[in-house]
Amino acid sequence: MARRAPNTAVTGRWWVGYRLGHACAVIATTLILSFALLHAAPGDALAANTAQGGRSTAARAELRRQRGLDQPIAVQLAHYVGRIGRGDLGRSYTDQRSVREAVMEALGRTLLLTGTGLVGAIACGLLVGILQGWRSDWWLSRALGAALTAVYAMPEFVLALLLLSVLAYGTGWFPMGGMYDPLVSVTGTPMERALDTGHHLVVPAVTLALGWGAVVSRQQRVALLDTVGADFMRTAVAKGVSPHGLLLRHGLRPSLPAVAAVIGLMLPVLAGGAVVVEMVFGWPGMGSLLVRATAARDVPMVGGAIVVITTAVTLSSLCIDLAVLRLDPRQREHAR
Amino acid sequence: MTAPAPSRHAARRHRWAVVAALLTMALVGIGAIGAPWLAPYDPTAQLDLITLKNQTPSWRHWLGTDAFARDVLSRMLFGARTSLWVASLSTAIAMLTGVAWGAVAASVTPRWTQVMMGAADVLRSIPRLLLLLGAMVAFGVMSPSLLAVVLGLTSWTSISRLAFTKIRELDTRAFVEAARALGLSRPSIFRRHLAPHLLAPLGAAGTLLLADLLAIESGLSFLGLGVKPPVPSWGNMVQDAVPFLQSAGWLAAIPCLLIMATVASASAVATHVGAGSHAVTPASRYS
Repeated sequence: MARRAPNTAVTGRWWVGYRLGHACAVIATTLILSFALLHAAPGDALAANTAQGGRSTAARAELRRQRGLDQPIAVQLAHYVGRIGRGDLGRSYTDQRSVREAVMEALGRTLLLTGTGLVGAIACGLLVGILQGWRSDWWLSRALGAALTAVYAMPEFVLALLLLSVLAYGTGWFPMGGMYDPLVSVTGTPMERALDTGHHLVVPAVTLALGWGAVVSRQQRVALLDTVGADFMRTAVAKGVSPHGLLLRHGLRPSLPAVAAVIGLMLPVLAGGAVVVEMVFGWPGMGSLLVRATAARDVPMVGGAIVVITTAVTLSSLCIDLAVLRLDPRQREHAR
Repeated sequence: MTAPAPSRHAARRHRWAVVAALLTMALVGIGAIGAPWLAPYDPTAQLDLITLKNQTPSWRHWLGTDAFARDVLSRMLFGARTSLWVASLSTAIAMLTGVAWGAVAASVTPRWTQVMMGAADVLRSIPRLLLLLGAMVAFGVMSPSLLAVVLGLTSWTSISRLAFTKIRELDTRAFVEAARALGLSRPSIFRRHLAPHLLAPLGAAGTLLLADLLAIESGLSFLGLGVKPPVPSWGNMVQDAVPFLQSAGWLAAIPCLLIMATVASASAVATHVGAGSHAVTPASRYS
């Protein structure tokens, strides 16, 4: 019959402690899960190498001993964590490539795509959301709202295929996939290569911008509608603030934290790669890497990518939360 | 600039939208359940590879045939069966786990509450897609039912948070206190006094989760990681159609449209059920 007294004010310090502990727990859980994956998947680091090698049982046992595969699980886990701490994520089962190299290369490409997409999403989402919340009966805001609602109802791959067939197949304005033109990437000057990559970037980035923009715009509209009816807005009107000042200085400010929270929820996608979009457009980032590695059951690659992505996401969301705590005093009351 | 007051006209239009959504879901459900009797052909039979490849819709094949000369209508019906089965089984698992977890966490001692909700928070902070891919690597080829179990077990955390918050909120209300003062046990308080209040918000969240999981399943199958061919699912039908996007665009369009219609209907119903309960946030799609 536990019933706590209504929580006594949660202090900022308690919240910071909770968030730090939470972040550590998330990273630890991920490490354990990824180790379990490595351990539980059929075969082990040797099976892939020795399956076609035809080595004798004794030779296999010797190899297992050398790699520490005969040690107790706890010891192996400690070794695993130590290796990851030193930045060694192992080698891919399929092509023996260093997982760290492959992941870092893919991460850079993914951040280019998802970063561009996110900027586009914030721009288009805020614009439409503000239009809808502020001038809800104007035909343009209705039309834009209806369009983004349609986008919102589409699974990512539907939107991606639609844009691919219209913008790439239909008009031929944009390339059909990939990150660069094979010819330009060899013969082009750095400038030409950058332009070429930018050209390839347009359609996938627009896909992401529309898909996420739909989410941002909804949040912005709801937040703004909440503010529009508030007392301080009436006061501002009464004291003669101009319509623009009303929107910019009084209307938007309280709705921004809610929108920031939605953008924070997109962090996993930012680092993890927009899997579907990357696959449809053949963008060689984290998403493509993950899908290919999963299909090939390349355990070290998937495990390494999971660890890197989750760590990045956890640390950045921790930073965002702490920053918000500093910036927005109201959060201290609402924390948790 | 004032918040728009819902006019009677708007309310009526809204009601029509909900009726249309329910009708869509009912039709898809009937198609899925009745697929073995409704489908004109075997969904995996390659009817005539030479003459029946990528045929446009006709009287013999209402939705045309695909690249392997299979009847698209039959595949859509059986695909609905697979997709809905995976989505509803995983939703049921996620709802049961989540509500049970949240209800227990709200009833134990404060220390255990912290441990349980902390664990749920930790699990929720690991991107769901990564958990799914990890499970796929561990299990290899998954049957639709196993896929549903994995989807369900990676999706319950937000439900548990909702159930927990709602129960905590209700626990401070006078009628619950009265029941407690009368000496009712915790399970019967839950059954008689809490459960009726949880129905609307959890129903809304569950319907939204159904839409969400339907979209996720089709996305995974589209990537070739979910339901594997030859078992038809809407997602892998789109995948099969991608190489023919230019020459036979309708092959991709048909399953895409039906996925959209079903997902949108489920969301519309969820919004209607949860109106005013704050259970439905647009952000839940990304958590």
